[in-house]
Amino acid sequence: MRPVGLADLQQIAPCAWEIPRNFRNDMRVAARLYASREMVEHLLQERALEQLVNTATLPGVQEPALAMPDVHQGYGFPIGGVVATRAADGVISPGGVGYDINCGVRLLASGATYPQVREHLAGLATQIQRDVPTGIGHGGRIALDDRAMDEVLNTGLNWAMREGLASEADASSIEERGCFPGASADAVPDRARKRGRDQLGTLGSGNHFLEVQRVARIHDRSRAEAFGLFEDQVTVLVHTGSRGLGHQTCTEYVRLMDRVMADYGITLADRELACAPFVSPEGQAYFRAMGAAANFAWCNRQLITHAVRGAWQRVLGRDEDLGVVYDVSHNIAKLEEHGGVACVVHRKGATRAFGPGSEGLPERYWSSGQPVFVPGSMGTASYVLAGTGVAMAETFGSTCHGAGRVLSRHKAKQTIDYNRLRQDLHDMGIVVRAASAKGLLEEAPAAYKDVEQVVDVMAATGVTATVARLVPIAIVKG
Amino acid sequence: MTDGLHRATRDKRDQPADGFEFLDHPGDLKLRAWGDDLEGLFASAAEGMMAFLFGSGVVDLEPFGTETIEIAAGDREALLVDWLSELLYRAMSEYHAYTEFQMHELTETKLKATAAAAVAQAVEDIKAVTHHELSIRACEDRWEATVVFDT
Repeated sequence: MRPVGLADLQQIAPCAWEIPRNFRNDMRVAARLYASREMVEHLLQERALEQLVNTATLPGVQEPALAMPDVHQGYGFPIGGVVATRAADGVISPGGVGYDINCGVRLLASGATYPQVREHLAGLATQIQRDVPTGIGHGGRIALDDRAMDEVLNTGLNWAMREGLASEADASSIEERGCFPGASADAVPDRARKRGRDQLGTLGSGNHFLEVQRVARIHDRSRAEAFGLFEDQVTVLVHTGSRGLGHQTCTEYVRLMDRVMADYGITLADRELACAPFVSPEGQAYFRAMGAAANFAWCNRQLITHAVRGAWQRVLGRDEDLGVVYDVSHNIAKLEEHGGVACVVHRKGATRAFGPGSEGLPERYWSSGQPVFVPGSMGTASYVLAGTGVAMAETFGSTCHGAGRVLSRHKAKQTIDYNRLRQDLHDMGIVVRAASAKGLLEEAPAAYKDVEQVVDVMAATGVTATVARLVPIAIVKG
Repeated sequence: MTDGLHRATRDKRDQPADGFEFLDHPGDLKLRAWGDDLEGLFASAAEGMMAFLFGSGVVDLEPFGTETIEIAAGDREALLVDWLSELLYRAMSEYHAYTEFQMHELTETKLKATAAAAVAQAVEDIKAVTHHELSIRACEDRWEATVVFDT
């Protein structure tokens, strides 16, 4: 397959590049990359841009296929990409969502400031680590019977509300109110249910983490106020997804699509792009199953929220609730209207970033735009952004999702010194509760792109506004 | 990589007839496995995945029984992905590690095998076995495959 070179990229704005449709004859639309020149030069050394071009070949793809500045090489689709396909005659692809369906980020805001929490921080981190199961395959505190599992999958956050684990205020601060339209437990393979049966309320391993943070800087005062954020405030960020249930759901549907693709006359550049027409029985079954897995993920983040609230009250004795600022999904496909066309917007390692006045936003964010959370690598900063009208016009209402990996997990473990890393985090005043050394090494800051450069590119393009910078004060991970 | 994986990664200079090694991949995990024949290749790929999930000590675990695995798929590549996906599913949902793979039947589209099962806690996670950059090829005197895992 022809590699993408610098000469193939047309710079259309200071931080935007286009690969024209005639770059490869199987492209249906142009591809666009948001990045600085330095990022482009780095990207040319890996295969992320060829993968971006591959996504521009999918049946029904809408102009353009997109890559955000945190893009990196994935399997099939690049991580950090947005592909919108026409609902009427385009495809849906499980690989365009990823194995961790509705992996996402939730931000909780407290009323406390850092000086009020500082002396309790070690105790708080220990309590959270005790109350939120982390690590590989770790079973949670609750095992769902078939009926409860059906309710979680079919009704998402409504199940958590019925169980007294979520409030109306929580539901109103989550995409789709935590209940995916059209989700159906019947479409979820039995094996996925089994793999996830004891994993609700667990953080998992890999790049998933829970962080207690301090608001280090407010960049946009009026939007920060709308989001309820202020300087020196303590926040909690939860990053996890649908665990084994989502992984198995994706596995089974990639297999199904791989089998039926030929019947629909679809040929692809990479088998992992396996897809089926959105309106086909297979496409619809996947969409219903994906929605159910998304519901599982929202309930997962809700149970973790519930546990964090308990730990907070127990350790700090503060009679307040940690309110949900918002909950964003960065591995999902959504049915949305863009430019008057109903589209299936695949966001794989990308975040919805709806601008002011968009349908589906909570009333209190109508004038500010949607809050977006971009976690940096462990020990660096995370950012709160806001969606804009530019996002609605140019990126199918989407933005970046994280820092983007530059070192493989393997290389990170080989090249980074564990004791030095721990010492560095300690010197930065960060309390660390990690289940394993390898978990810490794999996610070391040196393994990732600089998150500031990523959000700066998105701000330069006008797609998202930078609202606040959050720095970690305690990290809990698997 | 982890100590376990270091030990499991075999030195290429004196590669045994069947074996595996892990290759560097920016986002995920890439496994190369090889065998004298297709049966050896499929067994090696499974051994490699188990060594990653449970550490190289997996071969020393005391099995409590044997499980039979039957797979049907559209072609040889899909058969390899489905074989590894089946073992991954069993490992992650039953908390079992698998060793001593015996291939009883292996065609382009069908597989029947047995494996020894032991109770074990994984030390690494794999979300899924992908079709990305998947290849199975006959080299001079052996069969080789590369598989990318989403970790």
